[in-house]
Amino acid sequence: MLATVASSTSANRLKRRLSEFGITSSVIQTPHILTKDGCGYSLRFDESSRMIVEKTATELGVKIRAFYIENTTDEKRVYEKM
Amino acid sequence: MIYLDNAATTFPKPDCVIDAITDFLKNCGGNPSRGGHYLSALSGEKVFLCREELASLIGVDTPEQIVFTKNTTEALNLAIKGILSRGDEVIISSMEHNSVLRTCVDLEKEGIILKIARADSRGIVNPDEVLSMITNRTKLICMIHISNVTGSVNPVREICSIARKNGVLMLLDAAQSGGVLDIDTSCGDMIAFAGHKALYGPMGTGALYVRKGITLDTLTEGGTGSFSESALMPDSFPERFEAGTLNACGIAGLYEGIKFVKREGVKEKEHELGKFLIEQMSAVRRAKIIGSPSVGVVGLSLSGHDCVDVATRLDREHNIASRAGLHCSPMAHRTLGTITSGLLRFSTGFFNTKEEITATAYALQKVLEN
Repeated sequence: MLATVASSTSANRLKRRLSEFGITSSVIQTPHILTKDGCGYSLRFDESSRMIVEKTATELGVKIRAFYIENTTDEKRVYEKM
Repeated sequence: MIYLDNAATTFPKPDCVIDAITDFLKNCGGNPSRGGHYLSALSGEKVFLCREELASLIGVDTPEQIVFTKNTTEALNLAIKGILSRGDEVIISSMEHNSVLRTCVDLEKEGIILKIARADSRGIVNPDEVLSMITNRTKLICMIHISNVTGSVNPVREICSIARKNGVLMLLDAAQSGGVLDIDTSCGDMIAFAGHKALYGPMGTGALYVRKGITLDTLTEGGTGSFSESALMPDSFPERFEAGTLNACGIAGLYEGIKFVKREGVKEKEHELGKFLIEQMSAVRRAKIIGSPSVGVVGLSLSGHDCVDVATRLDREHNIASRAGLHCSPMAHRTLGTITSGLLRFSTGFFNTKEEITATAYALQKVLEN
């Protein structure tokens, strides 16, 4: 699952705090198709952690722009906005 | 070589800093916040870790409010030029470095009103004098924490408290104090750091802490690796103020430097050496300590000798590095009455020893007697 954020700083901040809770995540460049205003960064994590990601982001003041579920259909990666 | 010019930049740097820089150049090296490949992400993480470490040094849990700059001067320029606009008043002390003085004088042509609170003969500003200068147009007070000329310490918490009670922002110049004195947000709404001094990072690193909620204009514009489609700089911290490629290699070194400062008890050692330096230099005949140093920065007035000549002789004949002249702080020298003669300055760092300081006092005495 992806959470899109404003910058790599925001993504790294979230990643660091989540790691304190034992949640593994990674900072990735937001897929181009999901960016309205050019380059951006996202956090990739397991879908089961969504609630804690959302809660942690709120606590840190990190604004999550959107959540996406990643799926592969006909060898094509598709993103479903939550 | 006895290196006693740590107020200019600390030397040597700890091995952990050198190793981190080497490791970055060999094994990391990607451009942070540019693209999504492994090396870019690794580099971005290192930059973030340093932001977090510096934030924790001043007791702040918002690392995104730490903006990296190339030095303290750039951090001060960003804060001063970013906050002031036509008609605003700024109060500075008469001990400020040219990094503040020149910036503010330059802004006078843009309609900024500059007021200067005069320090006393110790090089210390009276908070009541600052209070008396505040008007309803005062937007900013900018104050040096430790004088780079005398080593005297300003009562910045008291001045910051006065600023806040009067709705004025406080900018702290922590070039000399970062890593040496306890600093937190009670010292300033914005705090400018040198990465390469007592935080033991490499040259080319500095930072500005900006309290959440303060809005600043940008100093430079350009790529940030985010919101690329917009022709305007993003509003988000710290990207708004970090246009162009960061000195990620230096920041990786600074990260280790800050950890070193916390781990090794740098503050305690700096204070011990500073006290010893003051004692030793007080005993040198024909040399007089100017101001009221309370850390390891001592400015000496030399009777019958040119300060630059003495510094040169210490270097050539005794292999001792010091700093003579006006220290980029002419206004401070005018305040102290040393603008004509200049001063000879010694400044300690973590790697100095008491033996080196004793040897320096002895060598200085020898030079002054010949």
